Amino acid sequence: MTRRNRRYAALYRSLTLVMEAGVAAALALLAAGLVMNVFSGGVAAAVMTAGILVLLGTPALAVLVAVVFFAILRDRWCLAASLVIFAVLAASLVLALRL
Amino acid sequence: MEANVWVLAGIGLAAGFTGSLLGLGGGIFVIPLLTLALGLPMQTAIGTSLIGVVATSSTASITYLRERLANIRLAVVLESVTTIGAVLGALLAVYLSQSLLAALFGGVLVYVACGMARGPRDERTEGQEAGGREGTLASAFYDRSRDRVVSYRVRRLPAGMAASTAAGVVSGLLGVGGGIIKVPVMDLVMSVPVKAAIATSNLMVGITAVASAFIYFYRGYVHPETAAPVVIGICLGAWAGSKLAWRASGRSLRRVFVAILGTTAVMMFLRAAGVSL
Repeated sequence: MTRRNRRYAALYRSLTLVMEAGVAAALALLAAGLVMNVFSGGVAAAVMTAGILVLLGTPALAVLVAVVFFAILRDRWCLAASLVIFAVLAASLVLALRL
Repeated sequence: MEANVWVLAGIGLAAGFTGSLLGLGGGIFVIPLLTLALGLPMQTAIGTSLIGVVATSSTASITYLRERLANIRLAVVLESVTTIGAVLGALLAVYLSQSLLAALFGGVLVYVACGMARGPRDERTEGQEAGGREGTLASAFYDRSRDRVVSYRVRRLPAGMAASTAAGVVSGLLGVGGGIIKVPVMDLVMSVPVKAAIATSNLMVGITAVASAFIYFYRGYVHPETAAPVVIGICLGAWAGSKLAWRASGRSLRRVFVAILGTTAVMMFLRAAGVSL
């Protein structure tokens, strides 16, 4: 396997890890918030909101990881495309906050 | 609220289960159930559905990335235009009326039902040759069912990018994943084998949904108490559906769900026309 192929394999492994960790953390927060909501209330809504934000942040983080890998690989075409995606995600967040 | 948690989780479970059995995102079932059964506003149902789409896409992507079925390079190229479409769709949806959104959603249901009625597409094992930029997006994966490596090249990239933009607008506007457009286009137009098309589309769908979900979330259309049980239900349902999918008879499943989608489309059109259900 060439160095380039090893790096692409590392990209697949890294994205898998990001997805696994993000989904697990988000579901844990959502479940904890639901349990709190049933038994006590209090900070339940904040915990569930944190779970939603972690969930939304997971694909965004995956895009950022892809940007880094494509830069290392000097894959200009995919680096440009992944930077566009990240910029649009950032712009949608800014738009959402200003609307 | 406590009593509704189980109803919402049940709706997520049913949507995730049926969506997984049929290879669709849960959104196509979550939105009608939340609006028609619980009477939630369309925008709230769409915002909740988008969170569910991110959850199912991210969960399924773990397997697709590990198996290297998803073509990451093709995904980022197509997604660069899909996310722009998704933001435009979400911005537009905020200003559209409930009845127009319901009618548009009914139209999408009819489109999906017609596609399902035609049955599964024939699976190619190899794509066509292509040169230039499309050729650099070539990839390969190991197909377990055929015990062989499938190599393919990508054709007609401009057509694929145009369709991906449209898929983004539909996703942002109606809260569905957009895979119902992306998978057939990748498969039939771009010559990507259907398994790789589903995996690549699945990876893209979560990113597309995030772009529009931010807007629904900060506009106040995502209620944590509603979204949390639906998302957990969808994940459990999708997991259970994926375990049972290979046992079910594809043809009979399709007939049942074409009927369900058709009935739901009629109900959405009636809602759009102001007829109370």
